[in-house]
Amino acid sequence: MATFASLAIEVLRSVEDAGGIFHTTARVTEYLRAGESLLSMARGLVEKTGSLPLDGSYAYRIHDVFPDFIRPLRVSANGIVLVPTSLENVSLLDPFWNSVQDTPERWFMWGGTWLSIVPLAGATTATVTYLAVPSATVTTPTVQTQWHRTLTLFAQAICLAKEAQYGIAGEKLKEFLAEAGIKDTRVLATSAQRPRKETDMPIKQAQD
Amino acid sequence: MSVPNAAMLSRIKDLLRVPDATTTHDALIDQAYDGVISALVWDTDWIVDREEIAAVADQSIYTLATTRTTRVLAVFHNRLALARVTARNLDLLSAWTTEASGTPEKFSLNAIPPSVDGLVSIVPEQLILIPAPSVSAVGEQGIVVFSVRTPTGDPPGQYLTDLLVFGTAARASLSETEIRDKTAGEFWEQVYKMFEQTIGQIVP
Repeated sequence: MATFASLAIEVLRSVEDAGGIFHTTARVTEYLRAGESLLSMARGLVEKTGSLPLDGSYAYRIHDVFPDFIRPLRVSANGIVLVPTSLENVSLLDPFWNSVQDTPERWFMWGGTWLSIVPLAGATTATVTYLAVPSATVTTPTVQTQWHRTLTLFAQAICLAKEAQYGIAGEKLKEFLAEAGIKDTRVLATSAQRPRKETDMPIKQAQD
Repeated sequence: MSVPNAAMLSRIKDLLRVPDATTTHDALIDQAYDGVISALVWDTDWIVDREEIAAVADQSIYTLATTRTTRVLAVFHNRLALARVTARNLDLLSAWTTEASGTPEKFSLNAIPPSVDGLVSIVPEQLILIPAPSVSAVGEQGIVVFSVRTPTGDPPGQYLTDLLVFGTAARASLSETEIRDKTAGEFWEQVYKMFEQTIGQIVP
């Protein structure tokens, strides 16, 4: 199985810096990890399940318990899967929702930071399955082997951009986007790499 | 001002091709980082914080502790969710200006409370409770405000780290300073937008 170190060597070879003269293995590993983070978010590749201790509060700062949390996928308590809702719905149904203690039935997020479970539970534990950021401390990519080439594309793009080879870097980034399934290519539509089309005529001329 | 932590700063310098040991451009990078995170807070609800304020009898106006609040999402008084009202809606409630202190039911961010005589400015970091809490309604739970704000320390959630690193590199490279590099800045901005777009599709 490939490690970040072996993938970094592969990237260094592909950008013709096998000796690591300009790019270091440590930096290339950072690029690989950044690529893994983006890929796993785009494809939903890293899922984790953890226990959230409940203490009767009406909102829990979720990253205090799960620093790698991105968004909840499933929440359950007392063996029951809870239904997602929103602050607006809960407040409309009962303005005193955050005082009512009963068996938890629903959950909602406050932006990307706080999780509420209603009705409020006493001292118990909720099980939260969530989309997670890949671990930044492991030596082997968290995403499966079939995605390793995709990670190297991202790292190559960053290396080439640092060498001011923006044209090839842009091509590598496009390849990465295609493989990662990030379909909205508007992100690549800035002037630096966009090929000029015949239809790209000045506004005045178009009106004529 | 929000500043990147040491690990992020090192990564940003690497993208900008600034030697890690050099501190000459740190202030510019800090400024760029603050600009990126402020824009993020302006555009999204990803960073929400909670603040508790002690309720005071007959006091309508309360000032938030931070001066970097962008949006107030919800206000609770003694665990009761207060209804958000605007000055225009308040004016339609003819009695609100003479309403005696009692149990707060509404909050507003841009109206002048009845307890204030004459001209008064309500700044963005202030909110008013309507009616002002009476002595018996002050309660023990106080006022709890959930708001979107620019964090002073590290942002919550590891998923924002790469976004901020590439965003800062883009902003710094595109800035009218000695580290300006337009082409590099446009490239880092593309990478930043990839992260922003992807996170925007999965985080509410």
